[in-house]
Amino acid sequence: MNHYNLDKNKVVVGMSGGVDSTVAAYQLKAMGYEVIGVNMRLWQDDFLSESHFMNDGGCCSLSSVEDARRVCMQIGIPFYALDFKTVFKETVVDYFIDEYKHGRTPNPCIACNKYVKFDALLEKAHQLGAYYVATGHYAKIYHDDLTDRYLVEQSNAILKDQTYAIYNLTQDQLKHILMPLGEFESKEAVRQIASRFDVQISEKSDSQEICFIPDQDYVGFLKRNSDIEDKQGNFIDSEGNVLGTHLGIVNFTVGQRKGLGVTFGKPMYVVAIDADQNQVVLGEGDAVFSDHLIADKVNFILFDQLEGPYACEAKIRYSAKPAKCTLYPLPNNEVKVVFDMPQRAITPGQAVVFYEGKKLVGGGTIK
Amino acid sequence: MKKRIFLDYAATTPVRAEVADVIIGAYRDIETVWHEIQVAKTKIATLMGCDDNDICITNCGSESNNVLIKTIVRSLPQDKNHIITSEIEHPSVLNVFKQLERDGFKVSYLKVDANGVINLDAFYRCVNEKTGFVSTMFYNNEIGTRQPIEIMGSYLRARQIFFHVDGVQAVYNESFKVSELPIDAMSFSAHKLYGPKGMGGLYVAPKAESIKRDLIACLPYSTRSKAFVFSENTPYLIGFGSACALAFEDRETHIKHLRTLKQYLIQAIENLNADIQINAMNSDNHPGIVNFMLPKMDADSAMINLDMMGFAVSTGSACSSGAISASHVLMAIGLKEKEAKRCLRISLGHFTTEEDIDEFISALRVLV
Repeated sequence: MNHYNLDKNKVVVGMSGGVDSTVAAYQLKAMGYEVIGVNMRLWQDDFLSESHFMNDGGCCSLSSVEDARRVCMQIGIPFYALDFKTVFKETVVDYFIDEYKHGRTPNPCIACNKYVKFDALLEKAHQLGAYYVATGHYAKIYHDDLTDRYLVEQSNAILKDQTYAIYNLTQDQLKHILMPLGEFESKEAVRQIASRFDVQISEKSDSQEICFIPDQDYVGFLKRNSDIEDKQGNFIDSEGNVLGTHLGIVNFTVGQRKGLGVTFGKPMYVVAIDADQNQVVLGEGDAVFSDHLIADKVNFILFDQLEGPYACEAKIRYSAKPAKCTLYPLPNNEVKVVFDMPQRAITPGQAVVFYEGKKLVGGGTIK
Repeated sequence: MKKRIFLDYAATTPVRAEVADVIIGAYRDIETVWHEIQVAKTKIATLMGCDDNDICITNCGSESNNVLIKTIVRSLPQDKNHIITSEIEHPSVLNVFKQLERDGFKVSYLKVDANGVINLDAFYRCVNEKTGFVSTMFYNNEIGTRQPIEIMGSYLRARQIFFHVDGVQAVYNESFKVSELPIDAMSFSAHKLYGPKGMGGLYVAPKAESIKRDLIACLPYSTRSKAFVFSENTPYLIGFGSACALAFEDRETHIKHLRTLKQYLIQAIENLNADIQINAMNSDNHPGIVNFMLPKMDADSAMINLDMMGFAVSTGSACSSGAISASHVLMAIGLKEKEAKRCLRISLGHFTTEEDIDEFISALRVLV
């Protein structure tokens, strides 16, 4: 990273024009920071921008630039739109496509946070002399004097907590990030502040879907933007017996029951996806439960490295409840996670994120 | 608040005070006389160096490009479906050619060398018996490169191929008489020569009579009927004329002023010793455009920093959101995407002073 003169009182805020980023920017200004609003141009799907011209179109639409520009004017901070399309394509969209190719279920928000918001945008912030980047994420970041580490804690508004999506940030990244919404007790409290500004609260969906696929048709997206095609293959059971024909592995995710395209007279679930053989393994209800998993590309926040067995809790998807487990270190930056109770639909490609109470311990990618 | 320093004249120029007065006067006087419109057109034609009848009025330079290209290609015979442009054109030319390519035309995009100049050998090889139309720019708006339009035009004239030149950055910044150039049409724009926005023009050579008839039929401000003039933006047309008259008067000193300042700026950049690389350094470049690559900072960050310090500069390639993407022009002269994203365009104008440049250089010193 280049070394610029950084001002600790200066912060670049990623602005979507929505409620959360608007309030984040407003709070920081009220706290006395010099705030610069930036709208990140990430992706433009020509197919969607033509056919859904009048749509809200997710956070990459042109209307979001105008929304962000307007609220920045109302808050009284400068505003700029910046182009991040290349880095977004290379680190988020290509990864997203590649994961589906390999039968895994990606989490693009986590990649975007690590490589775009808190790397590429942070670099721009530094070029503007700002020490910090801030976003409207619901999470708390603070410096712990005892361990001299930057730690992450779940937000006070626990239902909105987004720590799951930032488990893989490094200490050097966390040092330069502000997330003022972590202190809010509820989304309602945030909305209340947002109502002072001309924010289109009702129309913006809570952006938990994939921002670059505003119509949520990810299969259509994959077909338009990659060489992935629907290639028929076999449904098999765990013994390898052929149960039927599927219409392409991208249509499936582990744990899925609906939309298999075939009926079996009893509820059947996707247990695994074998991209090499173009096969989808099905099983009955209990087959989708497992009490352990292996995670790779592990990152720890609470400490540098896992030295031995470690009891904590883990979430295997964004919306999951933390479940009691024990972590066991493995070579090559991997861990084995053994749950006290079997978990449903442990999905390769998704993140497993570890907690100790409200504290974020770390996480990894499910293998 | 500190005075802002405008160094983005290639994007647009401020309206001269005299021109603004003329426009306001014309707005107050509802019954604009027919005579004044004729006078305005004469003033425009005088600056261009052609006959009044060879000027069509449009709403901007982009419209001039669009409407001219589309009118020409419609008139081409079936066996002349090959058309040529360069890869560093303004979007209002390049995107029209891309559309025509989708419509079935065979399109050649001429490559440019590391200084942005069309390779003439490649151009000669490209022209064939099916070629019906060629369009290129006079001065490039981002790097200021001048294309060899005289050589290209003579070559095309000998083969009776229609040649259009996008002269938006050229008029007032170079002394020429368009009627003496071997070209068939030229686009230009009022707001690049200190006239109002929302006014453009097209020169069409006298011999292209049928093309001119087609254009007049579809463009505003035509002289077909006096009844039209009251519904059109005649005050702006009169302002356009006034800007052209002023430009015609002081063109030589204006160009000299720009050249002196440009030399001063380049010298100052070099004196910074900051590893700044100036792009496309040709002796016949636009007298007021300097494009250079910063050693490490991205151009958008530099633009924001400069904006906050009170300077308006540009990269020449913003998308509709205002975000800066890598310029197709800079990629065409061989820069990598990362390098292209570190390039700034400074464009000097009539009201720029050496003090402006000194202040800009002090600001730039902080960034590099």
